[in-house]
Amino acid sequence: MKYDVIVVGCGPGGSIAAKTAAENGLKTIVFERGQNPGEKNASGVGLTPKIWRDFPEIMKEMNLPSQRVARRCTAHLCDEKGEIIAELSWTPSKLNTYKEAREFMTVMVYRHQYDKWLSTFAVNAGAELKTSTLITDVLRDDKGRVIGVVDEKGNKYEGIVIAADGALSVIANKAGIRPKFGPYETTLVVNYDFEAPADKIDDIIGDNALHTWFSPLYPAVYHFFKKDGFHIGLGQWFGAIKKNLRTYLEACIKSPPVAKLIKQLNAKPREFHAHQLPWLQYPGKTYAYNVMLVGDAAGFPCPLEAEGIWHAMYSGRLAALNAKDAIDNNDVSEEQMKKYEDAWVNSPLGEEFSAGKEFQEFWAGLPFNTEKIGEFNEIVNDSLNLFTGATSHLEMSQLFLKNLREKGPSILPLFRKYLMPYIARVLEEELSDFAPLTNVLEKMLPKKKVRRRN
Amino acid sequence: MLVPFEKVIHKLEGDQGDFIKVNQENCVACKKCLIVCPVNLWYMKDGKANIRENYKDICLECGSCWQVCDYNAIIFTYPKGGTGVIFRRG
Repeated sequence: MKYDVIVVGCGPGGSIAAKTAAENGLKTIVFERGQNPGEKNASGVGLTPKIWRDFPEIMKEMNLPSQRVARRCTAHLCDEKGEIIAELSWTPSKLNTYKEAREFMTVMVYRHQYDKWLSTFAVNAGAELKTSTLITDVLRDDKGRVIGVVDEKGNKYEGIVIAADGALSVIANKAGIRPKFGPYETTLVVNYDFEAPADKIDDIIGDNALHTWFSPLYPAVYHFFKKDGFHIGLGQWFGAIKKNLRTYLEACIKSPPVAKLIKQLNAKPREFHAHQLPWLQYPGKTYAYNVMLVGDAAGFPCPLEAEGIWHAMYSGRLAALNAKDAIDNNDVSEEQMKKYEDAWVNSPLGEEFSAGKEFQEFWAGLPFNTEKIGEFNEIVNDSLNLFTGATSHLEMSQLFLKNLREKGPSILPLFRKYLMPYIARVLEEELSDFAPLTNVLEKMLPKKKVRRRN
Repeated sequence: MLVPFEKVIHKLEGDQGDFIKVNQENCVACKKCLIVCPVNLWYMKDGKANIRENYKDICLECGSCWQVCDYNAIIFTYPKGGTGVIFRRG
């Protein structure tokens, strides 16, 4: 069967690719291995404002039963028993460059609903949706070039291939783009969904719907509230997994503050998930002859917070536009496919990776490092204690700085190594070291007690 | 409080096919698959990795076993279209 465009996978990237291709007059088919789009989803932290900025005509129509708007984030810094020692909470900054980003942080939905809804835009634009169909291989011509795909029953489909088939992309593998991601290029994410009465979540959580937990007990945990339930989960790079990640997650769920919140919400476990989430410093090659990779298949989740839905949708559109260009030029060569890669590199998507190395190393070095995060949490708490009066302010400052000097050697190198290069990259300035600040702190330590009045 | 994870894993109806295969000749007993599998599907027998006979009941199709195997001892493909795990609240 011949098509102009074959989209493999009907997640957010696949749906937008198929919609865009069909709108541009291309004969388009999109394959989904589930019985419905969204059944095999790889979860997701929520929908970020960028989706509203870049897909306004779609998003203005969204009204899904599970959606909950998050207008506040809260980070819980915990000790080795999982007890909260300090908390930080924040709201959208007025510095954001567009309206939606100033109004909310994310909209939480269940992907099972979102993906299915999004696929209707592809179908309404004229794309053919073929569900319950697993694509198992690429189709090659007698010169060995990829000209389409083959399904599990041996049916052959010819056309430009847009691979939106996730982290374990069959197309990326079979087309020879990569065998698999490396040990520090993809993470395993384990996640429990809990159900809870919507009115209880409204009362106790409201729009403070984006929680994170940091403790030496577990690598950083996300805790995101939907309308009538929540996700609680964590991830780690395969190269750093030393024991079953589910045991860390269950330690967090059983930790006193989380267990208390679960009890208050009368929440019950409803579903257990595991999936791979690519988390790269920079994506690898995203095209081959007649093939383009989008979304997770391309390794696009943001290297700062691993959000990937906008990235999938944005890259899906760019790939479909290049497919249109390829059809118009009657050219599916590597050179023509590379135009897609050039397009995303020079777009807001490419910008996401401008400090990808620094972002990725920071997460690996601190929030996902159970040996370091406890000391960091204590230092944050100590610094906030400078503003309480239990111990005299001068003495507390001295104790803090003394403690910082003692603990500093294990924590400050992480900042020097990971955070400062990022700040330098953002500012496009040379911040050669964190040392100037630590030097200042050390100089602030009084040499001897000074009685100002006398 | 926490129910066993097996009780909150949901599957579509239908024959999934044999989507995980073990080539034991290649297994070097590194046990990475045992450590990584979030639903404990792997065990050692006679110095080789084995997958539980009923793995299709709870496998979440994350492909972690395939991802960590550096010796091509684990062959992972997806279940047949329209079968396998369903994430209704994913």
